[in-house]
Formats: sequence, structure tokens, C-alpha cells
Amino acid sequence: MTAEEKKETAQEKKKSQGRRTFLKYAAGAVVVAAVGGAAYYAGMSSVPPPVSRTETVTMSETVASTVAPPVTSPAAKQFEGMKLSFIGQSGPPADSVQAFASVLKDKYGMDITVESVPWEVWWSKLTTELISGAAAYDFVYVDGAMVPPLVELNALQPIDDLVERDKAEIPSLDQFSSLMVDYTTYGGKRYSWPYTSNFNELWVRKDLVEDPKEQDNFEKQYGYPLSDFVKQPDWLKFNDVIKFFHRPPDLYGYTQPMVWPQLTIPSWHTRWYACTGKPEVDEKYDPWWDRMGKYGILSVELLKYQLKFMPPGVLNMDNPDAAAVFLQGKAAVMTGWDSFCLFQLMDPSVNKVYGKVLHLPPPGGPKGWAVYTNIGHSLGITTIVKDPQRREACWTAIKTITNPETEPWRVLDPHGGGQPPATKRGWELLMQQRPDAPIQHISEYLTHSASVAYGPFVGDMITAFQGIMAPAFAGQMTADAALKALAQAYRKMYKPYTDKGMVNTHGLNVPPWPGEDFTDKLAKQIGM
Amino acid sequence: MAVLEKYTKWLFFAPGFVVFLVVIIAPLVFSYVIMFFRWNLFDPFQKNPVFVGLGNFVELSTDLQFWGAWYRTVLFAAVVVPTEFVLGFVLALSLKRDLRGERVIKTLLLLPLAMAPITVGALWRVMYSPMFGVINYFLGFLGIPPQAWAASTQQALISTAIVDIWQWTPFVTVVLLAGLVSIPSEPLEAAIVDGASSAQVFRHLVLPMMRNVILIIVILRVMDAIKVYDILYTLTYGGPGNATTFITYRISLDAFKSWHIGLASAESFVSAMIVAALTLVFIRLISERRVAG
Repeated sequence: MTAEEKKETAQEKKKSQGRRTFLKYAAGAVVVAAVGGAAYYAGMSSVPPPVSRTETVTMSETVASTVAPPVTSPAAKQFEGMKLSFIGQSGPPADSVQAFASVLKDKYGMDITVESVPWEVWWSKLTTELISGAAAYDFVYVDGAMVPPLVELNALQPIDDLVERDKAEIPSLDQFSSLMVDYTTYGGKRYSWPYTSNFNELWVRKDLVEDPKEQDNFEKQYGYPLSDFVKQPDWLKFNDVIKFFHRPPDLYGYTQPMVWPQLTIPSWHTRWYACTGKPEVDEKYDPWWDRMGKYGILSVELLKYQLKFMPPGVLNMDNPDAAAVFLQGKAAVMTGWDSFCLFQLMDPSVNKVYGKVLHLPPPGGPKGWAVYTNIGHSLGITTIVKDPQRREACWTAIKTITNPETEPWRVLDPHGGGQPPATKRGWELLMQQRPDAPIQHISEYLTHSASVAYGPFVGDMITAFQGIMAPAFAGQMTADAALKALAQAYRKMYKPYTDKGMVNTHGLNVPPWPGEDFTDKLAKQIGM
Repeated sequence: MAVLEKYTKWLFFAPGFVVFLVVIIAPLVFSYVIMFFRWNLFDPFQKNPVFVGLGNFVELSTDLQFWGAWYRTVLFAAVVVPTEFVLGFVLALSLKRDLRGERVIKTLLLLPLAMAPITVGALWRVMYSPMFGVINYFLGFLGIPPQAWAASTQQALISTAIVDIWQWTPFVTVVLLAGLVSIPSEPLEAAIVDGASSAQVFRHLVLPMMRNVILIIVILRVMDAIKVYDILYTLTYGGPGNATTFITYRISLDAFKSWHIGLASAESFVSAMIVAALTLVFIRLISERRVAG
């Protein structure tokens, strides 16, 4: 071998050694990373999910002892070591269950894992997993409207035996609105327990409507006192007020979330009930949408008219966006879901107009007066849970979480999750503890509510709203065409029910408006 | 030993192929089967799928929402693809020269590409906020009134297009730059020596030599533009109204909101055929130009 060849060979050898060394170290690094990652995730899976607030969740002893009697000895914990899983809509619905996790652990020894996901995701995830039979959940948050389809799909089990057995411990059914009682039953059996009401509310800036100068100017402009609106808002006066206080960019007349169908639906439904006096469907599940002529069209045009007095970008506003406008003092009036707004309004650290908010009766008229509610949330036990002990544990958890004595804590305590009460007792306690809170009329509204008819097509309803009504509000489709298309979509959705000759037995009566029928005045006011 | 050698290659090939079969082929076949069925996963009165033949396609033929979604998707693609191409080419030509701080520029250029589309959508949602967004804030200094951007039915599509252009122009730039760099310099130099202007060199030499690269990038971007979903989900949720309900969003609503998976499969199939047809048209156009050239 020549010197040059030797040199080349040595160089190649050096290169290949360099490559081998690099590969050796790289492979070692990959293995270490993989093992480390696996160990990390294995460790993470055994750590309980974090609570929604940074501090440890605690409940005062008085409340805790009311919720669950003190355990006499550590060994007596009834469900020691039992792991239960729950899935719920993120925000107050899931946060409130999470808030009780430590109490349930302390008192009963059970570990609750709370899966908190946005409504959109919750809906898809829950239905997919229940349909597939692979759901890992023991108890679930259920929108009342979904109880029947979930029952038909054998996803929920009745709890009548538990309710009957423990009737001395749980609130009597007259503590809840009749709609809540109704929507948690199906085919004569109870499948879930009411958790909260969740309805659309109206908040008004007290400092603005009670300001003498504003009152004077308003009366001069509109010919009646502003206090008339405060006594009982109707849509005619509502429009005058939002127009009067619309002073962009410092103050907008009105704010509310509009981006998701499930936000637009309640917003428009409230107006539909008021303008037509009709629910969505009649007793034969035939929709009213295309049968109410100018009254139906009025309900759509009313919301479109009111968009003019809302902040720019309202069509893309979610709950937090719309609430932020009001909480920052930039809107005179807000409507929104109580679950997502109420406790923010009562929190001076986030509410810049704290102490300056009135909670008023919802606007009504010219035909009807009803608060929209989705007869939200209830808690049901899934049929995945066959084991009697686990079923008992789920029921114990549900009783604890829905105990009326803790309902104020859920709202008032920053660790409580923020879910408003469901029972009259809960509302009474809340008003006793917070007499300054603008919530005097809420428990009345529970009996004044109207809701959406349910069926196996909540998803279809949302898709129909997204594709039909949302374009109508955005001015892409006429009200008449939209209502006809919506009615067509509803008839198709309800066909499985009507083919079977099923009858709508659920209470969807809209209370009539007690005042004057001002349909023509309202139509003229909005330029219809 | 010979037998082992013969089958060794299949042993190495098998795991990947099995994964490909299970993850890609099987769901595709399933989708192509169920598109002939009426199947609502959440309908308790019809738990099993019902064969309807071409029923789903007949329904689609008169479904204004489906074709409306397609119209908006094509409009979106027609805006973003040419814009990204032109901007990308300009950037690529600029970067081909020796610029000062070229590495920094290239790194910054690639940052949008490194972000997940869902993050991009969320980021731009905040930036576009008519009340609190930074874009309107700076427009205010120019005396321009606040715009509704993604919250306006008139502006939502263009607002979404801006986001897509912002994120994907760097990708087009990088691919075109790679193409430009690979062009041999001799023909270009010869043309310049022969008196051709820069524009003539670009038109008659650079572009023809870049034809394959251009074809690939245009096809890729058209397909991606049609598939856009993440940005819509976080930026506009398909709204306002249905202003940004593009075809992927429409299909996702039918599939995962309404659970009409038979219909959604039919929608996916029709959409795939439309995309395939568009791709063939592009390839044909470019091939014909090449033959004519």
C-alpha cells in the first residue's frame, strides 16, 4: 500500500469512526429521551387533573358537614379507592364538579377524574363514546334536551330506585322548575338529576338608567320615563333604551354573544316566543317556524335591528368577548347565559361596573313572554356503570354536588366553579348571603321559562341554525326564506318521531304577554 | 438462506404496509361503502344503516348549502393560491440574490410555517378583534376607521385569506427558491450575452425550466386551500352567517354534529372527485403549454 493509499484509508477510517460515534451518541440520546418521556407520561397519568383554580379547593367545615356528614374514622370511608370519571362542558358545569372532588375524596374516599371540554367537543366526544360503547365515564353532564336520545341509545340508566330510596335526603321535585323535572325524565322514568337551570338573562347598567340627567333626556326624547323600562322591559322599550345609550366608541347600546349557533339560538328563541307566543313545535311535532307569518319574520328582523347597537364584530363574539364588553363598562345592556356571566358580574376584581348592574325581568311582548332556557344541566349515570357499588358511588357524588345547601358556595366561592343554583332553596340562600346581587327575580324565571324541544337531532338543530338562521341574522338570507328553510329542516328532523305517531307531551307553552299587543308599533320601530 | 433473503424485504416492508392499510386504506374503503347508506349514528330509531344506493348523491345534487360551501371554497382558493404564488416568487427571486442578513430573513420567513394552523387562527382572531385587536389599533394611526374583519360577512373571506397567505407564502417561497437555485446558470448567461432582457430571460427561460416545480406547488396549494379547516374553526367558526363555511367545515358539521356519516361520506367523495378533476386540469394545462412551447 502506498503512503497516499495509507493516508486515504486512515482518513476514511477516521470518517467512519466519526460517523459511528455520532450514531452511537444519537441513538443513546433517542433512547434516553424515549424512556424519559415514557416515564414522565406514566407519572402524569397517575396525577389527578389540576383544579381549575390555582389554590387548593376547600369548603368551609359548616358547608362541608352539611354536604356530607363527618366520617367517624378513616377506615369507614364508604368508597375508599374507587375511581370515578366524569365528563362535562368546560366552564361552570365541569368546574363545579371538579370543585367537589376534594370533598368527595375526604368524605367518601372516591377519586373523581373530571374531563372538562368545550361544549362542541363534549357533545361529539360523549355521543361518539357512548354510541361505541367504549366510554369510560361513570357519570356525565347531560343537557336536558339530550336525555331522550341518550336513553333511546341505551346510554343512560334510570335512577328512580335511588331517588325513591333517598327522597328524605334530596330536594323535593317542587324545588325545581317543572321544565327541569320534565326534561330529566323520559318514558315515565327519571334518568338524570337537575343540576342547574342555565338560562338567558338581562342585565342593565343601573348607574345609567338611574342617572337623573339620562332619565330627563330619555323622557324628553321618547315620551315616557326610563323607569317604565326598568319595571317591566318589553321589546319596544328595549329598542328605545339601547338606541338611546348607543354612543360608540365609548359606549354601545347592547352586547351579547352571537358566534356559535348555541348562542344565537337562545337569543333568537327569546324573541320568537315574544313575537309569536308560540313554541318551536306543536303537539304533533310540526314546527311553527313557517306558520306565523309576519310575527315570525318580526322575531328575526328584531334581532337584526338590534345588531346595529352592538359593538363591531359582534357576529364573531363568544361568551367571554361579549361579557368583556359589558364588564369593561362599554355597554349599557347585556343578555347572556347566567352560568357564564352571573358570577363574573358579582366579582369586583373582573367587573369594572360592579355594583352598577340591575338584573331585570326579560323583555317580552307583543305576544308572549318567556325566558329562554335549555333546561341545562343535569347529571346522569351511564349504563357503562353496571357494578352496584360504583353506581351507588356515582349517586352519592351526584347528591353531594347538587345539595341545595352548597349551591350558594358554587356561585360565591372562587373555587366553587360558578354554577348557579337549580333549587328555590339554593336561590334563597344565595340571596340571603348576597343581598346586593342583582338576582332577585331569577327563581321566578325558572317557572317562566321555555325551552327547545328535544329529539335525536340536537346536532341537526345546531347545523340547521348554522346554515340557515345565522346567515339570516347576518343579512345573507331573508327572514321569510330562512324560516321556511328551518321549518323544512325541522320536519325532516322530526320525521322519525312523526312516523311513529309520537306526540309531543313536553311543556312548551309560552306564557302570553299580559300587556298591549304592540306588533305593529314594533314593526314600524324597526323599519319592517 | 436464499428463501430468507427473498422474503426479508417483505418483512421490512410489512409493518409500514399494515399501518398504511389500517390507517389509510381501510377507512377510505369504509367511507366509500357507507356513502351508499343512510346512516345517522345518533338516530335511536334507525340504529342500523339503510342502503339507499345513490340517494345521498341525489340529495347532494339539490343541497344548496353543500354547493354554497363549494363556491366559497373555490373563491377562497382562487384568491390565496395566485397571491401566494406571486408573493412567493417575488420573495424567492429576492432571496436568490446575496442579501445582507439573508439567514435571519429566511428564519423569520419560516416562523409562520412552524406554527400550528389552529394557533395561527387563534392568534389572528385576537389581532382581528374589532374592539381590542392590534390591527385596528394601528389602522387608527392612519385615520382608517376600525374594520370588522373576520366578523363581517363582506370581509370574513378576505380576512381568512390573509391569514392563509401569511402562513403559507413562506412555504411557496422555499419551494420556488429551491427550484430557482437548481436552474443551471449557463443558458441564462448565454441569453444575456445574446442580448435578452431580464424579463425575457425570466419569461422564456426561467419559467419554462421551473414548470414542474410550479406545477407541484400550485397543485399542493390548491389542495391545501380546499382542505382548510383549522383556521376556520378558531378564527370564524364558519361564520359570520355562512361566509366562511367552506366545504371541509360543512362536511364536519354533517359528520360530527349531525352524525349523518353516510351523507358526509358522499360529500367527501364528491369533493375528492372535484379536487382530482381540478388537478388533472392543471396538469393538462401545463403539459399542453410544454407541447406548444
